[in-house]
Amino acid sequence: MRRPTSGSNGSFPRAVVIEALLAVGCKIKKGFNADELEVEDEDGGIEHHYLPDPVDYKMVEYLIRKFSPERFIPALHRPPPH
Amino acid sequence: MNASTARAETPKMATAAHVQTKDDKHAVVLSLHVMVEQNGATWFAQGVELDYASAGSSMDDVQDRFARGLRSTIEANLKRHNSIERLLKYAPVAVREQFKASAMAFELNLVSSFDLADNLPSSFPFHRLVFAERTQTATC
Repeated sequence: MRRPTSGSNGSFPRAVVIEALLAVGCKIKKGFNADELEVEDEDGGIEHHYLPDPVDYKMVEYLIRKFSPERFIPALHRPPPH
Repeated sequence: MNASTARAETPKMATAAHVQTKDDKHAVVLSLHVMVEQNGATWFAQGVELDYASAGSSMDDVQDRFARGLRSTIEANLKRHNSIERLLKYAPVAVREQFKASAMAFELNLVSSFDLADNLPSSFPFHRLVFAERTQTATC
C-alpha cells in the first residue's frame, strides 16, 4: 500500500484515497471530471462528491465511516496528533 | 442560490423559523447547519442535521463543493430511487454534540447562508444552508 505523501496536516492525495477505498470494496464511480465521484452505501444511498486534491483527513474519515465495508483502512490511517 | 453573508456572528441553535408573508401565508423555514473547519491547508465541512460532508482547499471552495455535491446527491437519489429518503439521516451524535459544544462556547462564527428554496425539490426538508466556521477545538 502506498503511504500518504502530501502535507503535514494529515491530508491524503486524492488518488491514494480512491485507490484505498476501491481496494476494500467501496462502491465508487468516477465522474466525468477528475474531482467528481459517486459513492454508494450499503442501503443503496448515493452520494455525489467533488473531491479536491489533497483530501482533508476528516473527509477521508467520513468516507470510510459511511462507505467502506472495512471501517478501518490502514493505508488511510492518520496517527493522532501529539 | 441567494447568499447573505454576516461574519463574526454566532449561529443560533434553533433550526426552524416561522415566516409570514404580506398576504398572510405562513411557512416554517428549516436550516441545515454546516460546521466548517480548517486543518492546515485543507478544509472540511460537515452537515449537522444531515449526514453529508465535503472537503476543499479554502473556505469558499469547501462551501462551493458542499453545495454542488449536495445538489448532485439529491439529483442522483431522485434518479435512482425516485426518493431522497435514504439521504435524510442526522449526522452522528458526536458531530451534533461537537456543534452544540462549539456554539455554547462561542466558537462558531456564521460565515454565510444560502436560500435553497428555488434550487431543490420540495421533498427536501431544508430551506436554508448555514455555514459556520469552528474557530476552536471544543471538547464535548
